[in-house]
Amino acid sequence: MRIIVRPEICTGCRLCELACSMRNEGVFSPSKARIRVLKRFPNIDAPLTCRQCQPAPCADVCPTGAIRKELKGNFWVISSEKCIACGKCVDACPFGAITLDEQTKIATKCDLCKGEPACVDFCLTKAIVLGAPREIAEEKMASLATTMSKSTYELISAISLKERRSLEFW
Amino acid sequence: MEKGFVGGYVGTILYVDLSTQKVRKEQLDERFARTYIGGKGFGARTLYDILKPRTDPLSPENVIAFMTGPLTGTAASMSGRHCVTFKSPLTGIWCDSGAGGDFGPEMKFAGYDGFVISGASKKPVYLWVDDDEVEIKDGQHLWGMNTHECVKSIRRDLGDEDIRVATIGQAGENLVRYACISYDLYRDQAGRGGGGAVMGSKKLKAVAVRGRGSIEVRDIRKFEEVVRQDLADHFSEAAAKNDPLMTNIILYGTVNGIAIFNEYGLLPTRNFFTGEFEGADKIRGEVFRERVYIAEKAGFGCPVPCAKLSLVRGGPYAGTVHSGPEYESVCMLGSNCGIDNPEAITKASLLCDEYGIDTISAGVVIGFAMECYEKGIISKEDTNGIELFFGNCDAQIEMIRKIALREGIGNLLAEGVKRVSEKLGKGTQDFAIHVKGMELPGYEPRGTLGMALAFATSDRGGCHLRCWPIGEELFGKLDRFSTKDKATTVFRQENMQAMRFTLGTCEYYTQSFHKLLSAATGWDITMEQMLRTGERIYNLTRAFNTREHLNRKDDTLPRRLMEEPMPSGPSKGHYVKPEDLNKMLDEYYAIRGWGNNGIPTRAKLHELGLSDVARDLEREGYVA
Repeated sequence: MRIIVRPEICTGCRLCELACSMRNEGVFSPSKARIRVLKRFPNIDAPLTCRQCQPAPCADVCPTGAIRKELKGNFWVISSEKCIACGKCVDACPFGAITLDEQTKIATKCDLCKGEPACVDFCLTKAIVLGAPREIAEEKMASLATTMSKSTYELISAISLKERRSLEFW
Repeated sequence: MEKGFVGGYVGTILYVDLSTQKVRKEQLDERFARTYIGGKGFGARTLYDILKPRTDPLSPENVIAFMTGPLTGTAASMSGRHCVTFKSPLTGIWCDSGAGGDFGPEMKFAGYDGFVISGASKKPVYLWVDDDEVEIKDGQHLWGMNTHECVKSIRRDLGDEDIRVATIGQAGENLVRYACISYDLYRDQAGRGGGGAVMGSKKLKAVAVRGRGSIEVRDIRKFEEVVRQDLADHFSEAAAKNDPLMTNIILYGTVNGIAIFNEYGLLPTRNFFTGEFEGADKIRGEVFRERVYIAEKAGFGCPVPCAKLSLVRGGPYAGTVHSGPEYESVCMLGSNCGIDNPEAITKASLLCDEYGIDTISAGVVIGFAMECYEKGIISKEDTNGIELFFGNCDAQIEMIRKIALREGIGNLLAEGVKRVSEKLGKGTQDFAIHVKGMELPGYEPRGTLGMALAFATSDRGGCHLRCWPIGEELFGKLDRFSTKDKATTVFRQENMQAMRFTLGTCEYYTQSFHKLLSAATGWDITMEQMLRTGERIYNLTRAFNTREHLNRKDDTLPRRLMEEPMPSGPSKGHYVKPEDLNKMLDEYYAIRGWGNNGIPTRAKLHELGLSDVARDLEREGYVA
């Protein structure tokens, strides 16, 4: 299981950031959240977080073995005892999804709330979902099939979807 | 510095004096917080205490306060809002103007429940609040920029794309009396009452904030439980299925209202001449969705994406990118000016945001000017050759520019419809659509007596956000043409709305306030106590206005709405009869515990814990 984000339908409300800091830090604080919505004009609202890669570049470079795989859940957790705040994981992550906490200096990243991510619960738009790659792929295929089989009128909306995407590259 | 009361609140209020360039932080007092809760309440008490009666709104003595509420920036549904309070240059009385978006929450993440800004700078400046660091920075290079240029420029100067900025455009600089405050890029506005002009008069081009801190609440588990319940009960997919209004707002935004209000003959058309617009089908929500909207966006912390990102794809306005337009803008810039072109309305609404003008007031002022033009009161010479007929969208767009830059006739129109009609004379006051100087929004009171009373009694003048009885009149138990139960409805809703604006929540949000506030602060608060606070605040703003000589005579409507029966449509023949309005006012004052002259009684103020206010009013000779 992993968190899958769909920036094209994200509304940019940032409830995920609040849900994350609420669950993991007991406060409301986007700067402490393990997920972040990157907002850029005109139409980028992209939720970004750890993709639980395997093999995980952050775990590979960690000199103390502080980042290890949770056996049951298939997600990576950081041991605060072992972390020496060297920041090598920050350099290694291709997505900027891992950072050092400003106060504790310990590396922090999403650990799927140990299996039940709060951000997913709070995203009513379903721009953040929890799923297995196969499910996600099938869902994407189904949506593509629907698009291709749409009537003429609906093809017009599909064109506007395309415009939506091209906008992101302004 | 030690923080004051924390729990929902972050414990500090920032005071900035632009005349002396001095900055001071004050701890938030728990008793003050509990009495006035936040937002509008904090603003009302602060302004009442600081401002002397009859202060000129555009003088350095006026104060503009950005106030958040205890729920602003938390995960509570629809809670990203904050309130800007000031004495309005448009009306000369109390004004609070709300805005959503990332700015209010960012203030709290930076550690402040409010910014209270007084004095005036000699040169253009902007305020930069970076967590604990506060700096008044030179803003001369920003002067003259529109709102979006200014946001981009500040972010570039400070080297961070995620800084939140509240700014004014050229309209605010030029003291257009209904200039708004605009937030971030193509996002939110604190639209009404001329907050932008107050900032302009202080030479304060912008307020920029970055916050990396946290908001603590006392019982986070309880808080989370209530929020989850709210989401499941009201905003989940299952809940949306049973709530057509919510579904429509997600699909069409608030523009959904165009078709509804037109159907009842309540859509202001051609400067409130009638309530039925023949072009309504061309500007309804479905058309906007098909032709203009490209994405659904939501305010901070809000599960309902009512904001729409728009792109005009063809025609003369091609390339216009805009967040909006929402219902009031479509109505006032659209039907009220006889315009039925969604692309032109989108462009006009964008221009208002860029120059920093309130779309509602702009729509009414331009609609009024169009009527004057058609009646020959304003000539083609006056308009510099512009043919200011109803329905001429290019003329409207040109007028918006002229108003913002105070160019030609725009210099006159920038004063607001009340002052313009007084200047023009020739009977134009009869169709100058305002209450207490503030232009009316998109609901025709001639077919809904509840809205007539709501507009008449609103504490900031012609406004739909103090209460919205039209909902119960059209979809509930009330008869829209009768005066029955209107006073109680308005009383109840006004207190409820005042309370919402203290918390930092949206006007659509009605659930679980007391539970959330209790979990956040550790107080044990009941709904009744919260409504009591709403009532306290409403009495305080009323007292603020009483000190400005307002009384019953000001709780009235423009002559057109009280004398001209609606000429067409489903509300045809109806008007707000003076005796009906008087009857509703009598009932309303009685329920409020105010004198028949509309002045709060000593007993009522005493009961609400405002004895000092009662003494002030008596000392100055305002007796109920």
